[in-house]
Amino acid sequence: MSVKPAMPLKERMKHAIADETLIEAVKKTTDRLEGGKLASSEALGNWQEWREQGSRIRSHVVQHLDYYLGQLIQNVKKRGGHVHIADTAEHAVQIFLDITKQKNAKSVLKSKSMVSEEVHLNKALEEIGVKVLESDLGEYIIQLFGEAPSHIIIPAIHKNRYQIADKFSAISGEQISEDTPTLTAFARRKLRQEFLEADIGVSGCNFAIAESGSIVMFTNEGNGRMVTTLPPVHVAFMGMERLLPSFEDLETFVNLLPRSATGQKITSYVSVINGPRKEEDLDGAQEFHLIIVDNGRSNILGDDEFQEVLNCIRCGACLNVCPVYRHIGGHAYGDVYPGPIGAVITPLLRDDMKVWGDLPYASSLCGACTDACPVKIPLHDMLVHLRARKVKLGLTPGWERMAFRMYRGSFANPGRYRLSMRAAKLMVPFMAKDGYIEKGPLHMLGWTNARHFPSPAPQSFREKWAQLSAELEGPKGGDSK
Amino acid sequence: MSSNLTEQEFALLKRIAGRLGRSEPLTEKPSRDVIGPPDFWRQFQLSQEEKIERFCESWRALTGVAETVQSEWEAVDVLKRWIQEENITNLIRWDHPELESLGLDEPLRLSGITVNVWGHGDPQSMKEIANQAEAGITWADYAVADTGTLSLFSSREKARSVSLLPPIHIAVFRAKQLVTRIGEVMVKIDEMNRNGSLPAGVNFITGPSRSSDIENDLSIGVHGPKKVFALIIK
Repeated sequence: MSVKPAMPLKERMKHAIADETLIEAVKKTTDRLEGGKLASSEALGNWQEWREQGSRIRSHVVQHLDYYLGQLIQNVKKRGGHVHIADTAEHAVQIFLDITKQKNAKSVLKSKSMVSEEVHLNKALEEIGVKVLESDLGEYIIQLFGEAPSHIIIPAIHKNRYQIADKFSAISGEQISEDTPTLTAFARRKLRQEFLEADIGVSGCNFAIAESGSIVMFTNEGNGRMVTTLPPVHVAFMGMERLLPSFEDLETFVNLLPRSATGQKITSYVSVINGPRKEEDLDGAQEFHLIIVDNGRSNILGDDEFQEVLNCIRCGACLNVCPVYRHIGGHAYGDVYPGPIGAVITPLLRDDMKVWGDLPYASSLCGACTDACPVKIPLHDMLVHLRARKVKLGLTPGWERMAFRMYRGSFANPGRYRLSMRAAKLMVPFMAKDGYIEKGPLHMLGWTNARHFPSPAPQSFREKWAQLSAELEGPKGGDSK
Repeated sequence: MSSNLTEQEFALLKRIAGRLGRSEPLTEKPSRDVIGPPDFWRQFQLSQEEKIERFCESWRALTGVAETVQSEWEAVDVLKRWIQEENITNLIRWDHPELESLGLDEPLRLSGITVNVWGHGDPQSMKEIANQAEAGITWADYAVADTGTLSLFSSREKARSVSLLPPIHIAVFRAKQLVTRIGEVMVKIDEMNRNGSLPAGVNFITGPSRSSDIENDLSIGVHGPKKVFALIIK
């Protein structure tokens, strides 16, 4: 799917940084989530052992994905569910549209599904005149504004209560006040009738259990339960790698996922769906469809540098600790998955370094994401690997390649190094003022536009070294008494 | 194992196998040494008294109301009190033998409260009754002390709607149904799957419905229940 961002990353970042409300909201949210995570993982204890356990289970599944996925497919069918394989995003959408047509469905009600965002399901449904409604409070709000989520866990962090109250007032024709209970009550009332009347419920899938053919959802609001309990048809979208072997393994992720995402010990609801309702049951969907989506995931398998990224459980912890995400928010990443995980998987899933190859540069390589990841994905290494890949593909700008050639040339040879240092020092008086460079040349502007750069020291370390070693070698204990 | 795979399903598995360096999809269960939770966690076991205490503490931390009683007779008293305090006039309950034997319906009806029992009607009208009800009463299959979590298995008589649609959810269970860790329930679900008795839905419920989507401000009762009660019979 050739999705292209509207403008280059640098432009997107500039827009984001200029939006003070957004940046304030992002900081506040990430602080809260990160604080919660630290407190609750501390309270659980042995966090590193839990991470190790989670990482090993996920790595094992990904390494044997053909087996577990085969097992899942068989078991979903055994339970009376329908399985669909979507190789691409377009394919996934087509499968869903076919189900919609077959059911003659007029209204589709969704709980949160990142994969359905990834394949742009809503747009396709609107185009054929099917009413599609998001039911997660945050997703519902941004859908009313016609915007995309800016955070995996809290999609509407960039909207304040006044904007939300105005929007609710506009769609209902009554005056809705901006206090949270009123806003929440409005959404509850508005969506309740929709839940009862929808033809198809759509959900995501946090984990599928291979051994039983089940899907598991972690939710807080209850809308995930609504869309799988009330409408006659339930369709779940699943990224093909989101598997665990058995329920026993789920315990580890019950302990890892909510803590990493929001700092909760467990979400309000952990819902297990084992196919459609039983014949004698009186509620639950009568028909269950599972759409297993590849959409670029199999390209990552077998790639030693990146295979581990498929361990991701989409908790958002890497977003909350990332200094870059905290400054630019989610939209600047230009696609569904923001933050460090987005900077890694977007170029890989899209398989297009030309368009998405700038994302790995939206990082300070500080490694906070790797430390935060509950399944120990070495995200910062992957960001470096992606940059290297971009260089190998010859996609970096000419001036950059030239600069690095010069850098390599001068740093590879002591004589040339000394010469270039001296040359650089000669430039200092033209640039520095009071020990600082306030306006750098060329690409130093990116730095000096926001802060001053310390001017190089008058004497380099190497020049000092001669003097220092002489002092060290000096007569020992030669101090006069 | 690939006996009943469609062409497309098999093609995906073959593509995955190829990427992982196998010529054919793996059909033999791979061996693994890491299963479930870490070893130290399996040792975590609370006494009966500790379980009750830990459950109530976790449940209350999320605005839930929890009480422990010694007998069924006392249980009815507490339930009546809760229902009166919340001004409930119309409720729905699971068609569950334990709830039946409490003999709750009669005294409630005498005080003018409508008691609906799930399953006594067609699905559409049941859904509507559950949606109109001010409270839903269930009997938990298990309760997890560690996190303060109820575990509910669905069936014809034990509908998912009863713990979801009404704004108040009241769950009753006996102290012996408490386990320490959620993994103990997970193992039971695995067993149910292996012996062919898995219900269509299993819900783990911890506290009321909640959201922080508006300016990080916690709000309770977005789509699911706003208030949750747990009653433990010793």
